[in-house]
Amino acid sequence: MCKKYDTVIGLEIHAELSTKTKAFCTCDASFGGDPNTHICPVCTGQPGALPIINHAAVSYAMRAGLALNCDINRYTRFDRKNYFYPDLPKAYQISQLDLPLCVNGSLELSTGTVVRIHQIHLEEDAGKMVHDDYHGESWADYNRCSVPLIEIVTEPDIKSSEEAAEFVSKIALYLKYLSVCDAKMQEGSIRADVNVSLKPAGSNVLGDRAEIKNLNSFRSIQRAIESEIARQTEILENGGKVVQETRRFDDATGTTSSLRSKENANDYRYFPEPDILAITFTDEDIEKAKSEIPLLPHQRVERYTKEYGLTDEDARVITLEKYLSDFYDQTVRIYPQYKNVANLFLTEIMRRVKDTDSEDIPISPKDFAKVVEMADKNTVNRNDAKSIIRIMFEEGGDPEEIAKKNGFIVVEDTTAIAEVIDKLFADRPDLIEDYKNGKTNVFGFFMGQANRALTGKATPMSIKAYLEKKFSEL
Amino acid sequence: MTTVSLLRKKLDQKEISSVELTKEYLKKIHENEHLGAFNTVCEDEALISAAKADERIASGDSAPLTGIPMAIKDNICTKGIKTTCSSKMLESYAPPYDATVMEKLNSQNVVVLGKTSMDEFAMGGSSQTSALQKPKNPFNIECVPGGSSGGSATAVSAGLCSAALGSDTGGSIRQPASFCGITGIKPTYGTVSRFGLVAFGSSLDQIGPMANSAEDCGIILNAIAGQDKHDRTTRKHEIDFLSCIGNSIKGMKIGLPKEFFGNGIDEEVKTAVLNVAKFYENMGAELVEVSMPTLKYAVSAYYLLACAEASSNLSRYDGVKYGYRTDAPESYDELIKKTRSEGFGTEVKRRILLGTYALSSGYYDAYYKKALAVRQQCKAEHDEIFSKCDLMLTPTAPTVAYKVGANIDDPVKMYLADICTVTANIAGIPAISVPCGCDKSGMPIGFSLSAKRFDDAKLIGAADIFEKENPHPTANI
Amino acid sequence: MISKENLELLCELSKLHLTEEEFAEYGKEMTDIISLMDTIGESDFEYNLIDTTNAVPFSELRADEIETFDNMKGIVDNGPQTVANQFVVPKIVD
Repeated sequence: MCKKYDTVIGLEIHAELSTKTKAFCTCDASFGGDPNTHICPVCTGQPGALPIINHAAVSYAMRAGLALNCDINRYTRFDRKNYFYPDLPKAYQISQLDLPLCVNGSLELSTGTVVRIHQIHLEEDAGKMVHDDYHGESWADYNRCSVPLIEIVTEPDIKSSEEAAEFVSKIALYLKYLSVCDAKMQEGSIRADVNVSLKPAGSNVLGDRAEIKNLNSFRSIQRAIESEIARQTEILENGGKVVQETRRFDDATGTTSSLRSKENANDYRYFPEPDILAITFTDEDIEKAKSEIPLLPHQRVERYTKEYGLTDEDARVITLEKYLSDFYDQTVRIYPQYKNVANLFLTEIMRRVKDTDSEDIPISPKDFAKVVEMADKNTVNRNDAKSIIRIMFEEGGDPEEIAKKNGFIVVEDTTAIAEVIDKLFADRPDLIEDYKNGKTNVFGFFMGQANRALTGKATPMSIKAYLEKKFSEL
Repeated sequence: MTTVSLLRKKLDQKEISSVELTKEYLKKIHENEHLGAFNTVCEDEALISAAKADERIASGDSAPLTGIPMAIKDNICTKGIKTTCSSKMLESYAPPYDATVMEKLNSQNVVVLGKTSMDEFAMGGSSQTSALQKPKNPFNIECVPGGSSGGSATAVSAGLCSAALGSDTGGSIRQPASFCGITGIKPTYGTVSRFGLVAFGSSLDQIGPMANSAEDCGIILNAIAGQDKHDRTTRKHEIDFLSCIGNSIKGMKIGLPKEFFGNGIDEEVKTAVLNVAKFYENMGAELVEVSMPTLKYAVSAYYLLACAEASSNLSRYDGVKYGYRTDAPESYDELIKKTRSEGFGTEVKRRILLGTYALSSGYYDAYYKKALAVRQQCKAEHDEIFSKCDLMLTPTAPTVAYKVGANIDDPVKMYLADICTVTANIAGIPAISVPCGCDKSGMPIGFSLSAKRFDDAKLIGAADIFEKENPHPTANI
Repeated sequence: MISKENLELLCELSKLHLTEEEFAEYGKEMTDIISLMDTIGESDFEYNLIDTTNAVPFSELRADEIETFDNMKGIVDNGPQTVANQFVVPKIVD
């Protein structure tokens, strides 16, 4: 079927920066805490209090901008966005309008679409409201007030819900790699507003758009866009007109509904924030920020496939999380057997950490490198290597100690091999006879018996070699 | 008049103790309650501070303001002591923190006698927009003391304290100082921390001293000025505000901007200020005529900037976190609308509406942005003027203090009366008002000196020269 | 002359409720005040978005170090209505 409409999507992504203190005061910016225990006169909007901008917040935002190919405005300024809401104690949000920190960036998707980034600016988060239906009250907790946020605003370059979801997940991954955002969607540290419109296929004229606010998972972003495309298609098919408005997505029904812009006529009366001086940057400031950008996931995939010879699939899996990729990198720096490290890493390490929330791997890259090396050199057999990793995860300990303690160390004791196998032959003349009569499958029995008797004393390879020698001499 | 410098000597020489001094002032405050200078008198706290100050004096470790009883404008946050801004909105608000200037004064063991009345949220030039005490002029209690720091001016002028802090957004220190026959200085924007000063027009507001002499102003500024980590608009500076006292004025160029001596300025005021010019000329200064063409836009630029910022600064008064809250609201929208409508007075609402107008969509470019452009031009003009002269001499106000009740129904007339003071705030330069006699009715006249940014000490030096020869007028109370 | 609709919008934006008499009075006063403000329309100075005299170098910004405020209780105690250490408003519906 020929597609009648092209989808046009623009995104505004809000990401909380993981600084220690808030954007404009020295309160603890970490998530949670008992209500109103991370507060001070500044973030609760006490009369007379003044904002003091956090160096790290600007630095993190700049790092994000540079990683997303933005230009940095050498003179950046803050503005006040005025509106009333009980989670906003000053009744204005400090944000940036005319001279945002970062402009003109871009990010390429796997589809080949290049999404232009209009700007990235720094602003502050609002507090948290809890609703008490029984008493008809809402309660305000200001712990989150003034936690730094960046808002990433794209041009309407995204063409499908899949692309939108990929863009957001890629941004989330980048921000984690940059160590500027913990990107935990369930804690609301990344949220997106989505603009969706349809236009006749091939047309250059943009249609009227609807904005869907406050989506906080990759899945809901994709679902919201799909439902919105369906809704708008139906309107257009029936000869109707899409109303330019703000909508909300309901996760339960999977549909969007209009948010009648209630009180505020949406005139935010932006003006330059008089309490914060503009900030100027030198070339050195920007060079320094650039030097703080680590290798990003797509750059690591390239290195893993081209230089390390991993498969594309394996490289992608390893780079899905920065801490895992970092662990892999550290391991191969110690023991540069890229594929062998990757194989044990993908099976034994990833399997154990993928279902935990924690980003702590309880063993060190150095110890992991040791285990891979021991397996490669047949100092322990491959199954025992896996057991060593399991024990290190469960109980900790040094890999060599564990191997010794559990008798995993393979000692090539040729006398013992001869003794054990000679005795087996002497004990079972019946089977030897069978072998001579063409029942060659008795080889397996001897192999199994010998392996068991020689655990830790010989490798299967040498056992097999001795057995083969014995049978050939019959 | 008892100056701070004189009291310092008396305290250090043990002629009087801080407790005795404090009791004297408290007694005077009570005897003059009808002057309405104070919203809050901190009797107990003052006596405790005075006793502590006496211990420090006895140990021989006194700072310049140790044990000196002062009054503080009621828009400067004092931890645990009501800071009302003379508004019903904050009538019972006791801040959880101290303003930086209060921390600095407290570290010297200053005695805070109380919080002085003012125009509501510092919006006015008469102090009669106060929802609480409405201060009266000690020279004639039927007249206003000026504003918005009227309570501070009244208290100093009537001898109810040795000196006071005020704040100045468009003349709120200088004009009441002029009306009440005392000296007051608005320092360079960025010399004194605004942290803890309840904001009116953030890019214009500065705290400054109001006192019986320019030297006292210098002593107080030395105590309260300095870069503050809580206010990033403060600048690094090492000004000794007393450094120019005793310097000769010989060879200095004093500019007289012709626009400040035209129509609308009372003849007696004009004459008195021109006599000041003659005085300085006789002392060896050179008078030069200068020009400030942007003055014709100054009042509108000032009101647009100040009110735009105020409309945003005052949005936080919503009845949720502190201060007045309306009874039993049905919805959040009703809570804030009723709280704000009941809590703010007429003038505050006017200015919020004006500021909202100037920033609103469709009007921003025509008003607010134009005002920003005028501000840049005004700064450039000041740079030009101060490349030609060291100081600029103007009247502080077009008239002397007027009767209570006059002007109150005519906001336009009231706003125009700020013409002589607003440019110093727009340009961020320092300006001092010094008394220069009285008019026929016996009301004080003040002149203003201004200088380029961070030349505050020069103003104090020049004002001191004048004061040595021309004592302040005194009120009969 | 400020229109009724415009004044109503200003009241809504600034969350002020005016009685009918107040509305008439403010309308008249605002008209006078705005005509005073209109004098600025005669000026034609260029506004410079970038003003380096009003800026601070990036390197001088505050370091990211936690300093805990010592009187959080004082902040919450000032709340006109609080429950469970939170500030209470009539239920927000969006």
